[in-house]
Amino acid sequence: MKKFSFLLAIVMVLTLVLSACAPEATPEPTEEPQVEEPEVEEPEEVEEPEEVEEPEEVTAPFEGVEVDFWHVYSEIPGEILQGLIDEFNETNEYGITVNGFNQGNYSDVEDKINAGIQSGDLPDVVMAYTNSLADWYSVDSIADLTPYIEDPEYGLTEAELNDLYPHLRAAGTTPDGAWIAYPMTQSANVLVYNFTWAEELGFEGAPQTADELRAVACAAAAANEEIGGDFAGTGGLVYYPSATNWLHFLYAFGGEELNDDGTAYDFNTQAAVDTTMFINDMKAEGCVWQTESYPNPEQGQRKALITMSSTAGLPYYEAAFEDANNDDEWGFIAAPGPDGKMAVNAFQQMLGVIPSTEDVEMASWLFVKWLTSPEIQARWVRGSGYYGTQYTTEGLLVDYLEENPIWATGVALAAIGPAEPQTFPAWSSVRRTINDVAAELYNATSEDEVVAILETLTQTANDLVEEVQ
Amino acid sequence: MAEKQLQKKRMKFSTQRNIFTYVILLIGVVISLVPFVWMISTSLMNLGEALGTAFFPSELHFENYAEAWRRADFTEYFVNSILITLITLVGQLTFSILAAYAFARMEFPGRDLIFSIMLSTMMIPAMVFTIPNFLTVTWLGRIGPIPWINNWPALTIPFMGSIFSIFMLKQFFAQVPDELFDAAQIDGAGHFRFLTQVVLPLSKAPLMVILVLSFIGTWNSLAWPMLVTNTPDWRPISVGLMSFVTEAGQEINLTMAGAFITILPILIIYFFTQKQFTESIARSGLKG
Repeated sequence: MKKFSFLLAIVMVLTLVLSACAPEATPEPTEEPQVEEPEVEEPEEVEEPEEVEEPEEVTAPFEGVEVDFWHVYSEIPGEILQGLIDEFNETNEYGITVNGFNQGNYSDVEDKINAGIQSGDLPDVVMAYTNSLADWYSVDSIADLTPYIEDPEYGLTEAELNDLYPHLRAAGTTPDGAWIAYPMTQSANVLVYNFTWAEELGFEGAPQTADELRAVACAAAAANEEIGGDFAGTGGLVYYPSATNWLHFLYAFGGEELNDDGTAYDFNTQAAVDTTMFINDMKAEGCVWQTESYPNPEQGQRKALITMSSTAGLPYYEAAFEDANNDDEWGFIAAPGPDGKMAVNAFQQMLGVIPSTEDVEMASWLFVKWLTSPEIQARWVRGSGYYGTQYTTEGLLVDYLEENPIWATGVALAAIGPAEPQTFPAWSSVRRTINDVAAELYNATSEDEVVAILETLTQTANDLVEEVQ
Repeated sequence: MAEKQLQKKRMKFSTQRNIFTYVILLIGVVISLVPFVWMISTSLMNLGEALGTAFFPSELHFENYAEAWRRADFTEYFVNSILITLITLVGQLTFSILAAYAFARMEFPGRDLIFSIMLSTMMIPAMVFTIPNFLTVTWLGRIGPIPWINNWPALTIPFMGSIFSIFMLKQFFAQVPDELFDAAQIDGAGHFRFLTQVVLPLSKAPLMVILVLSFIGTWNSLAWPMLVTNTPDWRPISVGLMSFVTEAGQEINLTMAGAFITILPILIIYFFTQKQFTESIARSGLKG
């Protein structure tokens, strides 16, 4: 009996070992094509609707490819974005599955990607500011989208490319020509303008030149000076010396951050001097002032005619005007230059693809393409309050524009840009330096002092480029 | 007569000194309370009012609390925070007590050197450890039986070894008289029984301090949890608060309502451990 049990045990163990060692996979593939062959022949014989469906199932080109997408949206926009992701997963003909993850704010995403680059735990698509994407591209952690955008089967047509606002292609392209950041939506630093109050002061419509802007701001300051009390010293343009605001006016004055060749930073230009002197002169005349915190309440109370804000700040302005029981007509305008050039400082919510296998990269691009297509973008704009990135999207939002007249004032502005040169080397560090220098410029008392500060800024910026290269 | 006058003068001086002390203390109390009052006051305003300079709301908006709770998804985050805090506290107390006891009452080669090396790590800013810690937990998750990233181990285990707690407990344990250990030994107790039945009951005050400080640290942590989690499944309550901060600014009234909800457990814990906490601070000379 014992011997029998022992033999039985050996047989069982051997069976298990042999079954474990047996090449399971080998027979299956040889069998499968044999089954498939007649199926392929069938549709040729009879043209029935049932047989037409079969090939579709087989041809999903990226079947089973999963794409992890890190974004920054929570609450209602997060829910809307998740809805779009779900819709893509259900409807895309490629068999791609996208998993969306809200990773906090932009700074959290930056921290996580920086850590992930070290550990290898990275998503496939990431939403970030362009300068972050450019930094990651410099360490081979962001893919160049050019081959995917130009792909004859899955890329964009010439018409689709031309539909993008002109400044956006440059905004996402590095100096060496790699397209690393694809725009999902836009916001912009704009001037928030009280049309009703300006009209009462004798100024019809938005100012068209820098001089007109100065005139209306000074008129508002004078009017509040007359009222006195809390209103004394208020009224004109609320200006914080920051990189965003200074660059905004610089663009209107025809300036930019790079030299004519686009090969190095150059802030020591006549446009930069004129920009700074324009603001400082207005400050000297009492037409520019500062509030302790966000200037929304002051604008609602008619203590500020013009403030500078991101278009994303719209709900806060609405709340401020409502709280002050102020029915004035107000909206977004661009900063005007001396010769009537209009500019905003446009920011894009960019999407980047992380290097991976060719299939995953292509699947990632196909998701990005779908998410930024005009129809989907229009739906996302309605939910998020951001602005679109292409002309066709505007046409799909006619009813939304009518329902949201203040938001509508920003649509034309989002198209004019420009955007900061975020893909140029060391831009993050240079921008921080401009932030520090902006206060110095604001306090400069003479043109010579301004020139000296701008010269130092140019030198520092180019030194920073050398450091990163 | 002259002595009476001198005594009167002394009393007068003492009263004046007391009044001065109380005034200073009162100013301190007001300075400490203003942020709390401002937080509660702002949490009851509407957005427009909260964005302005008003200190008190013109109308009380208690619904802000319900709105904050709903929008920040506090129900899920609250449970997560409780679990993370409990696991961290249990782990930290266990390891700190054992390590501190070993350093305080056991002789072994290199004891002082190891303790000095551990103490020296307190001089390094915590941010410097972030990436190395992240790489460590990622690696441990890859080789271990359960994933660490997006799971409780990454959120709790790195904080179970607290040098500060070990240092503080070691100082207290070292003060326990040797005679007590001798007496315990005569009664047949070893180190473990001596630790659990003699040392720990005598160290309630420092244990409470560690409990409160660790609770606050774990409860309020944000950067690390954001780094090691990808989904809300294990994210703590501080992440919920962040949802009121947008690109354009923050809904300050809801943020303050959320902040008050968030600090409630800390206030409750402090309320129950206040006596031991104060006692321990007084004994050790620690300051917050």
